Amino acid sequence: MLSNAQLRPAVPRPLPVQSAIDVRDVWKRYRRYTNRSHTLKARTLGWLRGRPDQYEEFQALRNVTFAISRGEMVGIIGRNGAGKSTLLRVLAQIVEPDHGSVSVKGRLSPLLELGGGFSSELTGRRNIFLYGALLGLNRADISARIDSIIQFSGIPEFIDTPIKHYSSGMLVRLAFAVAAHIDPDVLLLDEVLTVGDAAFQEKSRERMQEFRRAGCTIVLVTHIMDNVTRMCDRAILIDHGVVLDDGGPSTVVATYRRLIEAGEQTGDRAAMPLVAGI
Amino acid sequence: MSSAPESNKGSLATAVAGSLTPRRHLMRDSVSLPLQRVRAIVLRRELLRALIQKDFETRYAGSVLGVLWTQLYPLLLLGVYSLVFAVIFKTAIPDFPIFLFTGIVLWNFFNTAVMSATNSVLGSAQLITRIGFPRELVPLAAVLTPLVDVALSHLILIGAALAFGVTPAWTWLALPPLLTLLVLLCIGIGLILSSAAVYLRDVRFFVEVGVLLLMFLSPIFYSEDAVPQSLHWLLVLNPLGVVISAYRHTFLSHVWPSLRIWSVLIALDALVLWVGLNIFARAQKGFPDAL
Repeated sequence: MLSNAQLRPAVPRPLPVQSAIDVRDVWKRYRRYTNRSHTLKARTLGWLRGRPDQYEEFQALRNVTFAISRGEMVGIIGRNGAGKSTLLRVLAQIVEPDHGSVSVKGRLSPLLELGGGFSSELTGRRNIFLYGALLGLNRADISARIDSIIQFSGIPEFIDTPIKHYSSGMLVRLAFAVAAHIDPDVLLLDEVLTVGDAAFQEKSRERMQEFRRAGCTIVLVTHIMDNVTRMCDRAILIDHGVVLDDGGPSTVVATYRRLIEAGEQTGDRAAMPLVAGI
Repeated sequence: MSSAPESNKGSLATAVAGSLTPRRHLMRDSVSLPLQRVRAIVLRRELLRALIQKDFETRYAGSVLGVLWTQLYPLLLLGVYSLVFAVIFKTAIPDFPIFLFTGIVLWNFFNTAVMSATNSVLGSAQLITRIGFPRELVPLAAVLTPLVDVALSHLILIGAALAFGVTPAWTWLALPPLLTLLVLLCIGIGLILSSAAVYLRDVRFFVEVGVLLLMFLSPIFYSEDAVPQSLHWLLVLNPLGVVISAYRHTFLSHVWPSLRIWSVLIALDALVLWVGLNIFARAQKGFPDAL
């Protein structure tokens, strides 16, 4: 196993100044509790018996350092559990890193887990205002865009119905419609969430191209290598929480393919040093 | 993978201390951290407004009487307690119903604010684990939402006071700042309890009992003059009681609160808010894991 000391560089790499996203030496560790006491009684008994909470520690990100310039579109790739989603959550400021710093300049639109801020008792229209406020819009901004949001969602006939009666597809479309209207400077996208029917997907793709033309910085987590090579300016490969490769999409995708092959031959963990050493 | 028993005596303690914060920075951080958090909260005041509106709308969604419920509860309390204390116990306090209602309105706010703040972070797990924003806004909205009820209760309160022959006076100007001090106290308490409840789910049961005890330990049914001298320290230790008696004196007897009352309340608010902001700011780092 890699020790932390080996991975920490003595001198931080110099970074470009004009960056929209600046990630320096970020470390994030998670705890997975196998049995966690949530009550005072259980906690006290566990302590008296000398059996405190059991957990496993899991180093999700180690020494992650990169900068993304304004207007760049970057694909983040890696195997399952490599740390891609954690990285997006750190960028979205949902979790704080244990160590290191993250700076994101401008308005951030995180499209990671859509609809997290919805309130099921309220109507679609009220939820647009709530979700918009969560994403950083003020009331006047939302009022100005409400018609366009409702139209984009494609569910105008249900907009004044409480969303507890919505299907999951309708919910995601509503959330995506709001997120697509906040004019972000930085867009974080988890492609697992590519949603809706073909027409809605086409609409979303068009919207993304509009963002790019407007100079928006986009970070995309994806497993579809075609999207990386076709759409992105750059790719970052992450494995076991470490940045393995960072550069032109086709080079990084090639490294990723080697990593997967090596992983199939030698087992999951052994693959990383093999590829990293190349 | 290994478990780490030595660092695991209580995960609240470890979560609060933060894994990589050296101890010597703790004092300096405890001043700069709350200031940073307050700045972050102020920057997102638009979201605070939206969260309050959501809390308010979801509370009464689907109920026919809607907002009337909030007034029905204190009025019912008033009816029952008036019966018990004025008719059965034959209290000597003049204008007892209005005396009682002033206390009930403030206690009812304290009760709702502290209880809903305690449950607020647990209840917003979906929100907190999915969207990045200053998490203090969640208990803050929970404390501020029942202020709408307080405003409505004051319509009843002032109407009744005028009917009982209480004349408006310039001392009433002290009421909004007194209420503000109570709100700030609730915010501080709410920050502490809401973050504690994430790690210890039974905190809310203690809070329920605690708030009920405070009801009887505060001069709501009785006047603070009725408390024997030997027990006066109990009143001074209870900030809710201090606010209630000062509020009632100002409102009904036109007595401007003394400098001592102001300074005690301001000092206490500052302390509770400072502790609350510090605890919450440190505890919230563990929320995504613990929720």
